[in-house]
Amino acid sequence: MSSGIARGRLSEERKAWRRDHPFGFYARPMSKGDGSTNLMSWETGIPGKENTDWEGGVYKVVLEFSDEYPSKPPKCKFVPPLFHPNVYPSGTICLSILNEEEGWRPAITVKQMLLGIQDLLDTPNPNSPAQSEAYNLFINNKAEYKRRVKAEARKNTPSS
Amino acid sequence: MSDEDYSEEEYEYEYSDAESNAGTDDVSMDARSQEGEEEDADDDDDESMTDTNNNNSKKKAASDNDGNNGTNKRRSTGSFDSRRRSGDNPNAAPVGGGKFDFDDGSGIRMLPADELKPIMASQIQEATEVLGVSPSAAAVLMREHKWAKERLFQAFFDNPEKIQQKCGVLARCQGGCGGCGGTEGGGESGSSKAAKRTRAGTKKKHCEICLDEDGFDADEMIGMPCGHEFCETCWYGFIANALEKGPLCVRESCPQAGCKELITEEEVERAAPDLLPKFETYQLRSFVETYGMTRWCPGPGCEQVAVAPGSGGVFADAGGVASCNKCETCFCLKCGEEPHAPVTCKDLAMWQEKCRNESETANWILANTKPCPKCSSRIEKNQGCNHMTCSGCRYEFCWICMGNWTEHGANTGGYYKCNKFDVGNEGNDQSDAAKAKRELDRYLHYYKRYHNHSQAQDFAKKALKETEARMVLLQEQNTDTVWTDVEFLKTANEQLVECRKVLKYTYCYGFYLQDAEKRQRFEYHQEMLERFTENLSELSEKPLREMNRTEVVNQTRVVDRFMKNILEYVDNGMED
Repeated sequence: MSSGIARGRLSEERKAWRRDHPFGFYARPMSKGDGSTNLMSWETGIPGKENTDWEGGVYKVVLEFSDEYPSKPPKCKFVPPLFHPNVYPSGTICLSILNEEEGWRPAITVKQMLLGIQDLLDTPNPNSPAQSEAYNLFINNKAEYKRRVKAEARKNTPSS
Repeated sequence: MSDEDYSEEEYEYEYSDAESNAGTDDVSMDARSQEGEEEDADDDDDESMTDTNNNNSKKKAASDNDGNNGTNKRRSTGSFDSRRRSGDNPNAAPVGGGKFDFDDGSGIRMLPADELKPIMASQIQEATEVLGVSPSAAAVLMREHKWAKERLFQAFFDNPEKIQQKCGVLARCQGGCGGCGGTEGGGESGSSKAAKRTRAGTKKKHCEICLDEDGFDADEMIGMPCGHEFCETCWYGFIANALEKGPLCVRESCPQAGCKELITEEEVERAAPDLLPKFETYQLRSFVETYGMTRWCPGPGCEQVAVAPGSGGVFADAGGVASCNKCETCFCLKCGEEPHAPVTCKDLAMWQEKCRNESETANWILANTKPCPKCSSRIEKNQGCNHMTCSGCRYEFCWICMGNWTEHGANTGGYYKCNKFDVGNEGNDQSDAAKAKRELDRYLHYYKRYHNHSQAQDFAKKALKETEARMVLLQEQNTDTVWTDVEFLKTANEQLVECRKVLKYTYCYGFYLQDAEKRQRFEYHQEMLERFTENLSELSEKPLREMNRTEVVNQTRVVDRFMKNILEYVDNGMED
């Protein structure tokens, strides 16, 4: 896809998000030092779903878009890295719809991506472990896993 | 293509999620290999499908599994081969005692890739007619079933919608005029077309890729059979990007999130006509790779395709050596490797895998040089024969066992020890470490000899080239020796290349040969071939004027006999 469309698409995504976005989420292009915004990298927040151990936390995810977006998916990263079986130690998220070789389609919107990541929080995929700590606890010690998730939710509770 | 081949290779291909709805706007938000699970589920479906098709499939699968255990493979292949001929009865006695439909090289055609197009087209044509779908849909269905048309037809007639959905052509097949096939322009349903036409004047269309605010006129949009439309610019970008992914582009699906409808040449033609030839090249490539009757010539840069004779769709095991008419590469039609008789394709693959894994150990032990057993000067072997003479101290020894050469030779029979692995006296130590060491020693024993013959094969090839060059030279010079005078040497060199190759693979074969009694007899044949090959190697490496022509000619003939002996012996199931 010609590199031209990445920015156009992202500004439309920005508008669409402003018009309507799911409750509890936020998503905005990051500001550069000089007060202008960098459309190619977004700061987003994903709330844990109600009635799950993740409830209460809002988890910060940074989306890095390339000029090849939307042919290629953005890189999505929890900052700081999250305790979760499908999150790499670097914070990078392992999810089919975010993988170019798998489920990525150019028509997937930022909203769909963030909802997809929210979904992943409480339904980890044991077939695709990305970090050993969370994976091992998830498989071998559910009680301790639960405890760690709740701790993660407390840690990420917005201060307001 | 047989059922076995299909289910065995099933795992390489993932089917589209059978549950998903082609028209949905929702993204399926499964984490990565949950898709893997679905795949498994699909595989199960397939198995049950096979069961309805053929109640012997379980048995077939079992017999194929037997084939995994090394040497049984040949027999099992032979039996399913015969099954095809005897009406799919797995209990039918093998016809012709493990012989296959075609014998060495005969009937295999080498064609330029372009000439495969009519073959592919006729396959698609047949599916188009039988299934009553458009050619583009038929091509996808065939490709997703690896061109096993009987299997596709049966599955299709059992449940057309299930197969269409699974292969990503549901909308393409259903959208047309009720399966009359051949609808132009991807078969958008008539009613939706009409709806768009009425809206076109009043309302701009929206492209979900660029999200352009101004929108587009209807004629600026290109739609998929599933109804998803995108602007021309985004379509072009999407297709260009898909083609960058290489051969996988033939399985690219609709740009819409979660939609599993596949794109075909119809969309490429409309959205990016200049990229159509490239797309079609990938389609043809996919055909050659999955058809089951074809194989690319493995020669570097060569684009010829070997086509197996007959219509069974299954390559014979270890049979069928193709020889490229363009680049002269010889290869096994079944696995694409160098012809590797007597070892089977499966064992060869295992062996190569093992060599890759152990190569560091082996390389460490088998450094390119060895010290002279007497004076310890480092010696690099640069000729094919194992009879070494140290240039430092003139000590003569055997390169394989490093023993004195006087202990080798016809009189003592000592030389022949070099091709046998002696389990030795340490066989009683049952500790794991000792077992591991013995296993490594055993492997190294075979690997060393395999490697040695492999190098000798390269030397022989080099010698052959030199002889050929010399013949050309003599032809031009017109001196007292004429080129026909060295033709015997060329024949000898060719024979040596062949023998080294066969010997190389006998060590791979021997490594997996379990039966001790058979191994003993096999090693006897191997020993004979090795002895005479070494002999010929030594004779033919002498300077031309010292060479005894008659001796070389005779020896070449003898060696040829021994080579055929060992191959026949293995072919006949090692019964004398």
